[in-house]
Amino acid sequence: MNHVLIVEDEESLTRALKDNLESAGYSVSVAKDGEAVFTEITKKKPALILLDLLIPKKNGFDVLKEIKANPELNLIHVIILSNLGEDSEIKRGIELGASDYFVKSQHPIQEIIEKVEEYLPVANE
Amino acid sequence: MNLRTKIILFLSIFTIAFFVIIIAYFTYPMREKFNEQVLNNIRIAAEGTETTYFAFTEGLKDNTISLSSDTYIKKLSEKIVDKKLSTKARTEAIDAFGLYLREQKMPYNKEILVIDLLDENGIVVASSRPKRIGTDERKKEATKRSHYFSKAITAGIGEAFVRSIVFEAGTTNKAMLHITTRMFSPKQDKDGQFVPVPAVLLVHFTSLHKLTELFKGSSSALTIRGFFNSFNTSEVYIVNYDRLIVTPTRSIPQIDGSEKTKISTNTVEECLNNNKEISGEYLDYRGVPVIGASMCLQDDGIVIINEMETSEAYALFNHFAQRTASIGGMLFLLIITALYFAIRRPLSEITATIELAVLQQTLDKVASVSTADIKGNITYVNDKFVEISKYSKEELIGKNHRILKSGFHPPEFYKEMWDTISSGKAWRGDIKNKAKDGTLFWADSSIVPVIDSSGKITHYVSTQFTIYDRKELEEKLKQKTSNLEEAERIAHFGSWVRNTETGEVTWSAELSRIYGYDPMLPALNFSEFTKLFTAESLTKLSIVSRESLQTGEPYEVDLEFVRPDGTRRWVTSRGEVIRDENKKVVGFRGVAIDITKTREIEKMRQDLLSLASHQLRTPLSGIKWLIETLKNGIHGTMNKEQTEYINEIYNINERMTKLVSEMLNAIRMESGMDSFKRQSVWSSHLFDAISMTMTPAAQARQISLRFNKENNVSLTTSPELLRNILESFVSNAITYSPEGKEVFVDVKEEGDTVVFSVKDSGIGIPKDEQGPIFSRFYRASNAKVFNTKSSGLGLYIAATLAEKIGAKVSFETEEGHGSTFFVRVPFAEK
Repeated sequence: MNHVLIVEDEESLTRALKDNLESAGYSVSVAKDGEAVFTEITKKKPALILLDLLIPKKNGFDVLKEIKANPELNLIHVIILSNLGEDSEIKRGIELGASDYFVKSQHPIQEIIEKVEEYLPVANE
Repeated sequence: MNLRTKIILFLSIFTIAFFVIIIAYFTYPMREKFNEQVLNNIRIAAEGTETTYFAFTEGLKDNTISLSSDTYIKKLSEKIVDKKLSTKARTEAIDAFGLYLREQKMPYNKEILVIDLLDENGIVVASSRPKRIGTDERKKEATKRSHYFSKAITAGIGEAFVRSIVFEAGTTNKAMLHITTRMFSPKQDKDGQFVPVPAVLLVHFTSLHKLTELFKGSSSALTIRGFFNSFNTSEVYIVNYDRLIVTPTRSIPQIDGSEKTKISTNTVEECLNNNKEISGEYLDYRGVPVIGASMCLQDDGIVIINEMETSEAYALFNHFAQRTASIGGMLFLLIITALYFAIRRPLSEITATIELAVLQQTLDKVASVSTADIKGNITYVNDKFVEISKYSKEELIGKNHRILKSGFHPPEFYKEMWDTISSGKAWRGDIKNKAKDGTLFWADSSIVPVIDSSGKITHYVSTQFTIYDRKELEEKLKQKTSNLEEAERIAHFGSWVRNTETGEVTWSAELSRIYGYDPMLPALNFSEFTKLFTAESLTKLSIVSRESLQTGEPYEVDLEFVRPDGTRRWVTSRGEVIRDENKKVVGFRGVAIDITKTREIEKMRQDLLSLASHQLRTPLSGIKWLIETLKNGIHGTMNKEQTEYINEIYNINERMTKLVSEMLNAIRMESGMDSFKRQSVWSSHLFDAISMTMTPAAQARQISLRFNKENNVSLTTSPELLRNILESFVSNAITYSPEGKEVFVDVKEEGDTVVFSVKDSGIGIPKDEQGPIFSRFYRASNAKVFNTKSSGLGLYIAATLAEKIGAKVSFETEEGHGSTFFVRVPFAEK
């Protein structure tokens, strides 16, 4: 049950996150656009989603809204990882039900892994 | 007052005077003559009434004398007063006396009321009415003047006496006349004379109505009396000694004793007191103005009055006078009118000539006047014309007016002028003429056609005022105004003037176009104008204009507004205060430059930068995380050199990230996206927050960061922005201070501002580079050498933020000895 879904279209970021999460003991799957998210959720039943906002097909806010509106999915933790750092955007993300919000360039990757571990403690290492 | 008015005034006064004289003539001399005439007539008529009266009384006297001559009466009278006779015999005689008169005499004359026999003492001793026996008639004579017993008792034969007309109580209401005559014995003395008896016969007559009839006579009689009586208000009446009217009058037609009318008019009193006869105009017993004459018989106690009402007496005269006056007046008016019409033409000509002469004198001084025949050939010129045209009179007369033609106006201009004046209308316009010496001049010209009585144009009169100066100025001004307007149009800037005293606002055409209004319409008033702007712009405008008003310095501000068609536009507005000679503010003037296009370009640039920055962040994040992952050793450990390299790459990447981040901040500040809230904040709280953020960076460079917390100041501003500014300064100070030195943050109050300062012990800023220190991407040349990490955006962002909260940033520096940066924040927005 330690599955994390990364929603990110930037290959290099996906790679870094995936390596670090797997190294920390999580199983990881990746969705490259807003529509693939829901296929992956159905397939892998993730306990946490790392969500980028600027993604193809469907933007991250809409994806977040949909997840939180679905009673079967709304318990999944969603952490937003974005380049958008305006106060208004952070506020909107939190209001829509995101558990946390990270401006990618401002945080070391280790901080994000620690945040994931906070919400989703690794069962047995 | 012109001549015409004077003449009319004179004639009017003359007319009025004429009427006054006519009326006065009728009122005084003529009336007097008429009055004399009327009075004479009345006097004659009055004399006539007196004669009538005498004739009437003579008749009554005759009657009485004839009674006294009756032998039987004589005998009885003798007996009655014979004291030697026995009482019985006398009584018999008295009875016989009464009986005889009643039965044998009085039936022949109904006007005789009573006949008495008086003894020598005036006591009634016998009477047709025996009751009267014993009455003292002498007493009555004295009190009422009713008869002349006293005269009769000593009179001779054939003498009878009449006296006043009286009313007597008891017997009748009628007025009575009494005649007395002495009784004589039937016997004669030795001389053949009748012997008198000491008795008097007293006869009471009531026949006064007959007198009245006699007075009246016939109104158709061709006598003065008849003429007098022909008047409606004429009357004759008698007043007795008791001042009673005893004959009927028009107002008292029935005279009896029951209604006695006592009058004491002047006429009556003058007669009865002074025996004077009055004739003239006076008020009668009713108070009505009358003209009349009185006949006075003072001894008899009788006034005979002839009167008629003045109004009637003068009716004819007045009628005549009025007729004469009105006919005369009409005649006079007719003459005047005829005269007026006869002299009007010459009069108007005289007036016109005089007025024209004055007018011409005036006109000759200021205007060129000329006349021309219908072909335009000059027939007259005045001196001014000669002076202006520089031709002589001789050169001009007979020549056509086009001698002055300058060639400036197109043929249509002259055609329009000739069409106007030849149709009989006046023409006015500005003509450019050429003088003899070739100089050109403008003239404000009026040409008036002169039309004769048959409607034909006889000649033209032209009046020209030279206006070359004015015209030239007008043209220059017009040219300048037009140049300015064109310049404004090309440059997209408009100008305006606002008079704060009258509220009047003037806009140039381009200003109207910039704001999206029709330049032909009047400018918006100030309150309408302010509604064009967005709330934020309006606030900015009111702040800067208030500052300008206080400091006297011009202001400049960028403003966003909405055109009536809904499009959003931008202007740079520059303005300044206008003061009058007393330095009092009377308004504002300024220009507005349309910067919408510039703004759009700026926006595009910002959007581009924003996009670029965002897009840059993604790969930068990728690099950052990948290096971190590599360093984590997930994929195996690196040797020392590899680690050093990867750290260097990581640092470069961090700098790039910071640069991009600051660039985004700068763009955000510039575009004003950050709206902020003002709230009150203590300086010590602010310092705590800054300390928390900045201490790690300071410690990393072993720099001691100190704050002045002893002076705790409260101010109202945006704490967030102020903190950003100060952090930027502190960060800068830490960066540029050598390790181990101190950075001191101070706060103090200065007037209505709070001054924060950040002092470093750094490298200072070279003098010739201090100017653009707050500009974007600026870094002092020596700073580049010292530390290459700074993006150069820090101070620029600080300055931009300061502007937003109304604060001012500045610095003091000495190269090699460090710098102090200041931010002056107003306590609160006024």
